[in-house]
Amino acid sequence: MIIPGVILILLWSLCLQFIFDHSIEKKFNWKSAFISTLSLTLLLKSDSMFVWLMAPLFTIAPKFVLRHKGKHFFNPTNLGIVLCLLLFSEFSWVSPGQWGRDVFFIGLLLFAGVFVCHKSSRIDTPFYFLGFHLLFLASRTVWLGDPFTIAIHRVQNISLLIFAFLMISDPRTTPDSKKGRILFCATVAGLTYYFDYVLYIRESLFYALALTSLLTPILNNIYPGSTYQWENQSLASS
Amino acid sequence: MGKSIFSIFLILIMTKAHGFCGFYVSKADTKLFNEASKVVMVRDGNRTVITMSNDYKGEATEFATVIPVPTVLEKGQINVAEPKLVDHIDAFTAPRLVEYHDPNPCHKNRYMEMNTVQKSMSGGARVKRKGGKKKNYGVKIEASYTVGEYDILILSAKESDGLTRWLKDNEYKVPTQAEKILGSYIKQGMKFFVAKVNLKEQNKLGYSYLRPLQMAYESEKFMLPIRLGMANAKEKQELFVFAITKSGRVETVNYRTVKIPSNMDLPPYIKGEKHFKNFYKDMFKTAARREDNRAVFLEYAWNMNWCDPCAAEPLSPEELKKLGVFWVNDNNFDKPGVPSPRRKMRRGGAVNAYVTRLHVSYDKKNFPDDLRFQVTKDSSNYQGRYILRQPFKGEAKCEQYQTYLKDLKVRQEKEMTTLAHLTGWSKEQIIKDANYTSIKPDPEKKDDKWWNRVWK
Repeated sequence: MIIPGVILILLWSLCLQFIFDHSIEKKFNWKSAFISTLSLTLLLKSDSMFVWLMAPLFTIAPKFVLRHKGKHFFNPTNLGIVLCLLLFSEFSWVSPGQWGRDVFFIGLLLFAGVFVCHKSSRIDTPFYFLGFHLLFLASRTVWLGDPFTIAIHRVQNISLLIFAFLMISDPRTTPDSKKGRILFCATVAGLTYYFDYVLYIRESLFYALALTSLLTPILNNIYPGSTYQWENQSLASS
Repeated sequence: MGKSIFSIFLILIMTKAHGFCGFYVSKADTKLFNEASKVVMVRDGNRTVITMSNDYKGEATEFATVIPVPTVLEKGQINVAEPKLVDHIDAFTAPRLVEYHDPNPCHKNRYMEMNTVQKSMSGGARVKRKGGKKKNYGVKIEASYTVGEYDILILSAKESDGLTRWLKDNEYKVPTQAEKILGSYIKQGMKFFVAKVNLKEQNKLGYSYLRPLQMAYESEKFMLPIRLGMANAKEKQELFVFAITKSGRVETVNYRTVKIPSNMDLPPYIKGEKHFKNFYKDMFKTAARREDNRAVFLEYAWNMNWCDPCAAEPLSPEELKKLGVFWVNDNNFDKPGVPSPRRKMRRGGAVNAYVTRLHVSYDKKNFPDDLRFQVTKDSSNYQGRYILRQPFKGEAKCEQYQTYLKDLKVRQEKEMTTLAHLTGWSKEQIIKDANYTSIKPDPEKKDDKWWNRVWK
């Protein structure tokens, strides 16, 4: 995705966010739309203009439509990617290897990720997820008798870090309690492993998160906690 | 010393280890890349057809290979192909030179294309059934076939040490490091395809060389097992993958796929056979180094119905079928397109086939994992193409000629800089090789340090 294209997509998603916020008379939450769409342009690939027109719509609209107790439960970017992969399977794909494993970028993304998470006061989610993901990979490595260089190589994947720090870290769509978040992250990591190594589905991370998001309302019922708020907005804001 | 390209999987030699060889430029037998393997992979849905080119030159009795495969293969799933098929797809997808001749500067349209030149960069013993003694190897011979000049066994195993003992007892030389890797493949449910040469069949067929082995199978796994081949390899190995799909480019999912530098203007002297080979080799090395030797390079990605410019004739539907393009049927050809002098359409009509040429130079340190692939939805065209512009050498008497000479010097400087950047060659060497009499090397580059001139 070239830079002018990214800017146009960002503007388009901000427009959508503004329209939806305005329609329910809420304050314009540009930050949420900006982060979601930035992750979308980093992870989704398509040569079709139509896909890029629809992807931000699939990302933003469900936040206002698919809600449980006034709160959306699908991660916006993830749902945008999954819907594009399913509905426009002939025109869109994800390239897990596209970013390589350059150390500089790993550091940069970690920093950016920690910053975003810190700002959103849910710094724990990516680390729970990465912890479980590593645990499953390490167990597999030990079971197969493989050298750990393979597991390290698989974790040194920038797409995985973008997923962990810019997507699953989203405070609005993860369970409110710590216990809920731990269970949530364990389920995403477990499903990712199953899709990756049993079903050989390369878009494993995205499908795992989309499916696990359905559990968020249930986990919030079992382990209630305080709902995250973007700055000083009301609980029900998007 | 015998040579084989089966190195990517695992070569287990009966009596002694062999080196692996080459990838040649079409017009000469000069070795371009050592230890190069060529694999054609046809993929659609969960169906894969693999052709492994084999330029083994050792004693046929000493040839043996073990390849991890996802399923037990029936006899009909194994075939032997002609080596020229792989050579053809190699030549068709090879990086190419395009040459233009400057017209007389006194005439208009001075950079009109005059012609196009392409240079193609294409460029055992029978199994002793000791396992039959029912020693407790935990190894099962799932199937046993003779296909062409090969004796083939499909093995499944329970434990790596049993499989290793079985292989050793059958006189295979198994590197120590391979046992762990075999164990990993066993746990992943892989079977083992073991091939040796049947001398009787080979004599009967009359081939003096070993033809490429082919296998067709259904599996969600779209990968190439390269780990076994690295078990005892000290040096880097070169691998070329020619992936054919219905319409999309193929890329690696666990390594970065990077486009090889292309569409650059280069000094025309590299048209020479030797220079072009050296250029390609050094350009690839430099590009790989800039990616920390961790990337897979895309050298060609194109709809197989046409090429522009063409490094070789497009493959015929028959050739595609022989390479395993199973969706090619005689009745689904479209009308052939209109050919132009440098653009060629496929003879026999259009088929849905898109080829991706990937080139990787790998070692254990930077490529610890097998190569895993995916078919993308990207069907845009890409090729490694380098442009040579030949200066006007005729007589010209006009004002524009002086301007042309000035521009030419600037252009040649730029071409040299590009070549130096791509290959890491020194400008002095380029000037010498290109025989540029009008360009002098930059004095600063010599022993004269800059500070020696500061206070003078």
